[in-house]
Amino acid sequence: MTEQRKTHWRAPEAGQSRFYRAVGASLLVAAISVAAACDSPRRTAADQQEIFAERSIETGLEFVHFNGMSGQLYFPEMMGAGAALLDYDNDGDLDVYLVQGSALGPAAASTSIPSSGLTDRLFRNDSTVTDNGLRLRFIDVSVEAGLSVTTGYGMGVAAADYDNDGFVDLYVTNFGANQLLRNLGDGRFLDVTDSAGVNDDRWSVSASWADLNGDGLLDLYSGNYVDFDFGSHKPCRSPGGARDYCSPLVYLPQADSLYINNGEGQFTDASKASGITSVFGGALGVISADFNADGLADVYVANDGVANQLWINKGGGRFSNDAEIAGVAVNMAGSPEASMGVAAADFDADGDEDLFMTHLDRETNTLYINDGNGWFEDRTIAAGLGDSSLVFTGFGTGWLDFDNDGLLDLFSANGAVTHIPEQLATGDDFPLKQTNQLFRNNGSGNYLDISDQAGGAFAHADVSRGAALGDIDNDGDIDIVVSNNNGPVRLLLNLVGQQKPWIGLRLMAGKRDDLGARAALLEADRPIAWGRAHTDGSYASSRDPRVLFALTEEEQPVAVRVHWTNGTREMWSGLVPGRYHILRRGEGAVEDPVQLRQ
Amino acid sequence: MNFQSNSFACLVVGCLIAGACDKGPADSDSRTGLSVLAAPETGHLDPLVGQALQQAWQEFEYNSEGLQGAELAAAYGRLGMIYQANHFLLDARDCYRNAMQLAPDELRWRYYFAYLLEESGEVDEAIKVYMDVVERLPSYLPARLRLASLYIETGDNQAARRVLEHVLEREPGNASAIAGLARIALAEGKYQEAASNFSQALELQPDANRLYHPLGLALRGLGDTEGASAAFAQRGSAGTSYPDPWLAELGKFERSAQAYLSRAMLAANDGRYDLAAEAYAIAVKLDPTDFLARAGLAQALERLGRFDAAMAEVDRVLALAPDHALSRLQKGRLLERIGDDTKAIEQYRHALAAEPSYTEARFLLANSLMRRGRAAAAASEYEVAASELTDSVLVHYRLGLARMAAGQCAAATVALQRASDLNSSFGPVVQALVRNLATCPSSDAQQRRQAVQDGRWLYQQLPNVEHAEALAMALAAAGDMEAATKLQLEALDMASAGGAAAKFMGDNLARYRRGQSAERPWAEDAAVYLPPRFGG
Repeated sequence: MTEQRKTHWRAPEAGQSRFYRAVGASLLVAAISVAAACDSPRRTAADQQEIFAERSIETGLEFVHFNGMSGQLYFPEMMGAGAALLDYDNDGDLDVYLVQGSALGPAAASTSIPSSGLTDRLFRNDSTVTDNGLRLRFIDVSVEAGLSVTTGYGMGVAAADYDNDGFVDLYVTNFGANQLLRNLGDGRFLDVTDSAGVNDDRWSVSASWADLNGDGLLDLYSGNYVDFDFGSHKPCRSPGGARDYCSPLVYLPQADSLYINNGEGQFTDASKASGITSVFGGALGVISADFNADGLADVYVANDGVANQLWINKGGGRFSNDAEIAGVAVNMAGSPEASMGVAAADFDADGDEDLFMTHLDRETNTLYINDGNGWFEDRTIAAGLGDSSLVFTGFGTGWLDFDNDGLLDLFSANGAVTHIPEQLATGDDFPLKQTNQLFRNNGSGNYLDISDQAGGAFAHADVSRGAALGDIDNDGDIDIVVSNNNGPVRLLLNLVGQQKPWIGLRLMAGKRDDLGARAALLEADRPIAWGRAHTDGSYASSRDPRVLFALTEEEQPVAVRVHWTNGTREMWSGLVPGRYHILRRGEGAVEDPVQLRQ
Repeated sequence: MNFQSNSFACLVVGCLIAGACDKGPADSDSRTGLSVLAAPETGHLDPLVGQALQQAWQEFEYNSEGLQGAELAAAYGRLGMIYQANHFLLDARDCYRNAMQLAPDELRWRYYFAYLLEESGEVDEAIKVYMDVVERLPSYLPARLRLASLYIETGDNQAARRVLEHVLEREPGNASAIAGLARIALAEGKYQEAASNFSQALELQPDANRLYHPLGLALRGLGDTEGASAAFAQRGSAGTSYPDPWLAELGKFERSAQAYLSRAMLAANDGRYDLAAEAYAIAVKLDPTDFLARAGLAQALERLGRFDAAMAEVDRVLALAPDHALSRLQKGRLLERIGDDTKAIEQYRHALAAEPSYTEARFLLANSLMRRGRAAAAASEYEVAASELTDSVLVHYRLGLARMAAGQCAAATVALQRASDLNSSFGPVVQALVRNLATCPSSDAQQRRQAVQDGRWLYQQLPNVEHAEALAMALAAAGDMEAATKLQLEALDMASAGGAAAKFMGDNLARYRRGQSAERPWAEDAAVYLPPRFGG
């Protein structure tokens, strides 16, 4: 920071905290320890506990993303990368897959490359139970797993068991050729991209696994971004005239890809035949769910700066884009937004999938509420999610009930995409840093930004991109892995959720998670709560497929009804709280159709 | 978000104790209480912007010497405007604070400060300052509109409605205020009121095409799905606008080519090509090497019908970026307009070499090849385009015609059948299919029956010369020479005498009388094979 600029920093006035959190957080980080001594009298006793604690280093989850920046401000260098939570070794806990960048462009030779190998990394969760409780520990098993094959410039990852062999596989999206890594079941992964027929060398960011044709095999929707190459790289400038990253609108968007799983390890490119190439924008977030409750999985695609698509599954391998009439193409005012991350869940407990999306600063994040038939209403402002995100650029996101109060809260991983002048002026060579946000659902349809109560990790500014949500320590609450561009991964362990009663479910069809299956928690004196098994959504990331419910009573066994993706429904009762249960399709009680209609 | 959270205050205290941030109060002059400013650091900026900021600072230093009160406030305010216009917001903030302190009654600085807060996302603070402006200067409606918009964004619909109704009392036909009330009604689920207000705002300001989206949502809420779909289809990116002289003053200080480029792109997206051309021209002037700005200018000029100027600009783009596919395509298009398909073909090929998946270039290339009589080559290009645009009736139709012209009638049937599957009531497609099935030697009996059936449907829809002739061909192919002859005579009666078409029809009549079906679907030089030119 120069002397001249120094004179412009001062304590924020009342009303400026949010602004300064976004632009000046890096300066504030040094003072966190001092600040921690202060207690807010506004907080209740329950609130005084830190909600999330950052535990990456202590647990061995040591990874620093390398974006390959060389001063050229190549567009891809600030877009990656994601993370996945998956149980690759079927030992019952979540392992972590982290996507890596590499040197970039013609100037790559002059880029200082870290000495460690630049491949994606897999960290095995080797937690042990000790007298003091669980000791969470991650071991880097990338070499044993054969991940030296991941040599692309990584963007994202989507995890699912595409070959129904009981082992979770990975689709890695790259700036360049994507890769399908088959889990061999012995701790190793094999690159089967070519033989599977899913080789796409366009720039992809997020992908989604779902059984789109109901044949019991997971199909793959891959969102493609823009047509950037180093020849077309343009030296863009900020509105203020400084060299800066370009807008995606400078480049041509790419159509997405849809690969239908034929079984036996092969896919058919159905992009054109399905109709999904008829309209497209630069896709960043992708999520599949049965949005219109017709029993078929649909796909929602969040596009950067242009209208989004809602691909409604018409059956017979065809999709139609109903985003306009469904009210999710643009925001309520009619403006397309940046649309980075996307999450789908039944946040208002009315039995359908609502949508939440993260956007650029100066745009609000967007909450779309589903009417049950796949038509949505933009309720961002009414839900209090409007101005709280105006100074942040959100990427990874997800709904989570962090405090297990039965209400779905929201997380947003933030990081700018154009230089923040105040950080630039301090000499920061990657001035895109912002703090992340946690929004509490207060139960009356409103959200409150409680980031300043969420723990020190929320006061730390990074260039966050991916966010993978899941119960990493199996204690009954949702933890978060945040992947940062050009920075270290953050493991945010939830310290509060496990204090409340809970139950976890793994919804399985045969040997694999039945992605898209929905579980309804049937507790007396409480509306039905819904959870869906899925790994997609967020940004470039893959989450825990298990469904976690908060319970009102600790001791009482509970009943759940599962709606499987093949259209069948089954009941389980007497499920004991405080642990995870595996529910296999075909093993529950068949529900009475009369009762069902009621 | 709680702006005044204690934890944040603690962070700030911690920050100060730790020495990680700068002294706050010491930034102010202890005697005057004014913020102390320093020369802006502009080394990293676009030279034009940097130059403007440095010059503004030097002028301020020179001119403010000895000034006091409102005069000094004006100097600070003007400097703030230049900073703000060029997105130097922290410095602008200090300037406005000083100006407001020195001249509390000069509301312009307060207004600019509020706008700065709004731009920075500090909505609650911006509301406070706008409220202050509105109270002190009730007649300045742009401030009211901005305030109302922020109220809506923060969910305070009641306050927003109050402000907007006040605007409408003063100016009943204010489209922005009416659209604001519509937004509130929509948010509250009052769809009838929302639809009525959005419609009224659109009547008052038809180019505010972004309003079609919320109008569509309101119509959807009323159960009018068809109306909603029609409204959604008209959605653009322009909102309502209302003159704001103070902000217009601010805009005059902008020196960034990027800002003009962004403005131009927005205008072009809205279909306001005159405004787009103007803004692109300034962006080009500020940065003559920016080929994207030049390409945008060329596009806007073409849209405005200034083809010579557009061509000159395209040539400048291609001198800077020879492989700029969009400009190659545009040059091809401009050459088409003046009838030079040979050179247009070169440009389209160049565009495709740079961007092989550029389907529009491929389609236009195929069109040009057709006009140059190279039907087989055109068919190959259409074929690739059709594989990209599987749902395009036009591309499959053109592919069918190209194959017909190239003598590949069996393959033409496949393409035309696909086009017909996509739109079975599109007359030109049906006619081409009927003629092709009727004249293609490989057509089987079922296909010939289909030709008669489709030909009858076509003739029923519109009994004109072309359709009569097509049906006659189909009847002859099916062996009904008597009916074919009769219909061909009718067609000849309807047709204008003389010309190649009449000769072709006469030849076919003779064939039918001899018991022979037609050999070719159209005369070789029939206009149907020639795709229309751009601007033709």
